[in-house]
Amino acid sequence: MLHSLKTRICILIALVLTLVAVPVLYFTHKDGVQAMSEAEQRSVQNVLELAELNIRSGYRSLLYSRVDAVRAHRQNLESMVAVARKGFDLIFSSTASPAELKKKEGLALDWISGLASVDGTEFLVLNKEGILIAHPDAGIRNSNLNQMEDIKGFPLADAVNDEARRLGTASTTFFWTFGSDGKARKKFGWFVHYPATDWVLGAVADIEALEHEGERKKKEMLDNLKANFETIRIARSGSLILFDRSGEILIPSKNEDPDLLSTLYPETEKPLFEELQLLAATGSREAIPVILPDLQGEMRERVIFCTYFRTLGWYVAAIAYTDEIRAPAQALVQRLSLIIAGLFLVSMALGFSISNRMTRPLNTLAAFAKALPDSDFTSDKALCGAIEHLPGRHQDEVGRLAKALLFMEASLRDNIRCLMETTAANERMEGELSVAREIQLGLLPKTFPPFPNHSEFDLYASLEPAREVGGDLYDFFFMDEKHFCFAVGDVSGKGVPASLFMAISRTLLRSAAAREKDPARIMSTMNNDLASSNPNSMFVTLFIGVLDLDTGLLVYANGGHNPPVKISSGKLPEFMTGRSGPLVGAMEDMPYQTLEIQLEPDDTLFVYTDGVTEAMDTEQALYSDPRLVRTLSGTHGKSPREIIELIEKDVAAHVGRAEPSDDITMLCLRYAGIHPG
Amino acid sequence: MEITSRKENNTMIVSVQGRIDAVTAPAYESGMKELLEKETLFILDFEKLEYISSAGLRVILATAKSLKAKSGKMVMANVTGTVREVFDISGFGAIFTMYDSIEAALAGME
Repeated sequence: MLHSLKTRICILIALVLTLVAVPVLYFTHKDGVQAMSEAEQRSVQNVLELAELNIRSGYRSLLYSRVDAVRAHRQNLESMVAVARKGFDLIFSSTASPAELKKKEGLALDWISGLASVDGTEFLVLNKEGILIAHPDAGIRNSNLNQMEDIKGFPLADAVNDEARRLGTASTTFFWTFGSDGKARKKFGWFVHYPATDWVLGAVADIEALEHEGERKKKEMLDNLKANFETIRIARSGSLILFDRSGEILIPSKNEDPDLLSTLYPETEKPLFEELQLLAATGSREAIPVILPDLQGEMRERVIFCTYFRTLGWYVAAIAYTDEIRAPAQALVQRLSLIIAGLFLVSMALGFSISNRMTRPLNTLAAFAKALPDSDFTSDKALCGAIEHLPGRHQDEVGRLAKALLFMEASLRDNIRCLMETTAANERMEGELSVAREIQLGLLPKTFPPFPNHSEFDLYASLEPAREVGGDLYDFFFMDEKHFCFAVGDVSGKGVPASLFMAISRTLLRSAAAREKDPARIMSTMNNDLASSNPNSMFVTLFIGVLDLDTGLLVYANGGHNPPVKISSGKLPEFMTGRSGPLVGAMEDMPYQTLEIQLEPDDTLFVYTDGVTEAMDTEQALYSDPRLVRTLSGTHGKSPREIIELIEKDVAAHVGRAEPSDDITMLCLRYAGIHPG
Repeated sequence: MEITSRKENNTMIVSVQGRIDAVTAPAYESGMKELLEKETLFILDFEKLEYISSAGLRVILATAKSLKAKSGKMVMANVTGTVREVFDISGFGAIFTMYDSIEAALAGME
């Protein structure tokens, strides 16, 4: 898979996109979600604060209206008391005797008691013992007012007496228990000390109505708040709950179970509202997390903020659902993810199509290159039809590659055509050479034994050219009935030129031998003939021997040829080192002298070319003269054929796997002598 | 194979080092051909020649012949060892004049 360019491009694109998308999504999720969650939490807190403000302003107006009412009552009572006091002053203005004072006291108390109660306000007088001595209700006159308590819980008469005597005036709120129904009614009183009689004169007003008014207003405020709270939505379905110290819900939430607040908080096993009260008491703006079922019975996590409104004893709880708080951020991440996924898909599709377009011609080129070795280059039919259009259509590397392939195909076609022509020419040449070889070898006598009816000698010869044709030669023939001529030669160089020179040499030898009997003279004639028209300065080393079969006298000439070896019984083989003159054909008019040696019966003569002694092995070591002598030393008594085959084998063993370096020619003659009979 | 040449008393002294065989013979031939165009008197110094094959003999013969056609002269000096053996076997000694030293060759040239 990875070895395809297309896959690699697609993987690269996917990798790059992933590397971009992962940090974007990660940081959006990490920072964005956190920031947005915090913002949502702040907005919950803001809602809470708003509710608090709402309550506070409601409370303030409640308070103000109440204070106003109280003040109005007080002014009313003050003026009433002032009027009553004026009356007392009139009554007690001219008092002489104690009896008269006693009478006036009775008059004054009757007068006061006779004043009717208006709008729940009534006069009363109490003496220093706290006894109610004047009141519209005759039934309760002479009762001790200490039976009642003021709002602070002190006995009413003592408190009023004490304050009025000390300060001259006193005011108090208390609970009137002398009513006909026996129920305690809340009243407010204004009192002054009347020193003349040491009484305390007061006027009280029933403020129960005022209290009712307050309750009504409070209820009104609660209704307003309720209407407000219902409109408030925290996130999607979060809401506000108002409850009091006892956990009683004043404004419930439509989205929550009414028993939510009395549910036990799992961590502390206390009712939830107590937890919230603790939270609010700290004054912190923290929230507590709660996982409880919603109205649909589904477990959902909420965070609940709570604030305390001390003067009313109210708690406002703001409930927000965690998932809803996180929802906008999650929606953002989701949207981003969708966009990135979309981009991913589009890029992959684009990358796929682009890489496809890139690799399709490459595949075509690959298929073309693969098919190339099997194609027939000799036919004129173009192979490159499949890719011919590519260089025109693609100006890029693909085009250049296609052009290169087309060029290669054309070159191959040319080269192969050329090669085939050359091969044909070579084949022709080889054919001609093999014919030439046949002709050349045909020049040499090859029938062994050559003269079966001559028992005086035995002869064997072999010639192995290093190439198809060679420059070595051997020959033998009878000059007359008892003179037997034999020759071995080696033309300088190899191959066709040498073979031509060899053929000429052999022809000249035969023609010269027809006229001359002396080998030196034959050699001299050949030399002059060869040298006279020899532009290449070629030459031949030549050994010519003429053996008198009757006497065993060998007359011979050696023109630069390797010295033949004579093998006699009881002696080591020895080289016949005598020289007649220089190489044959090298230079005209060279003198050659005749040499001679007497052969005894069973003497053997081994004539060879330097292809034997200079045969090289793979290390380029020569076969060498000493080795030849060593090999020949055990051959006395063997036939010429056996000797030559032995040397052949030994030379082949020496050469081994090396290329044959020169023609190898051997001629071996064994003189048997004249046998009686 | 390496050919170095110097001139002394109107005579080119050509020293051949290494082997002259079928492989190096053409190089010898072309090297000598250049010298033959300018000079007529040659001494071939074979002191450092290690080996000579029949192909080597042929090119020496060829250059000598073309020199002879120009009425030049070529002698040899310091032909020793295996080279000497080859010269002896091939009878080159009969074709060329050989000296034991360059001084002797120079003296012989006069």
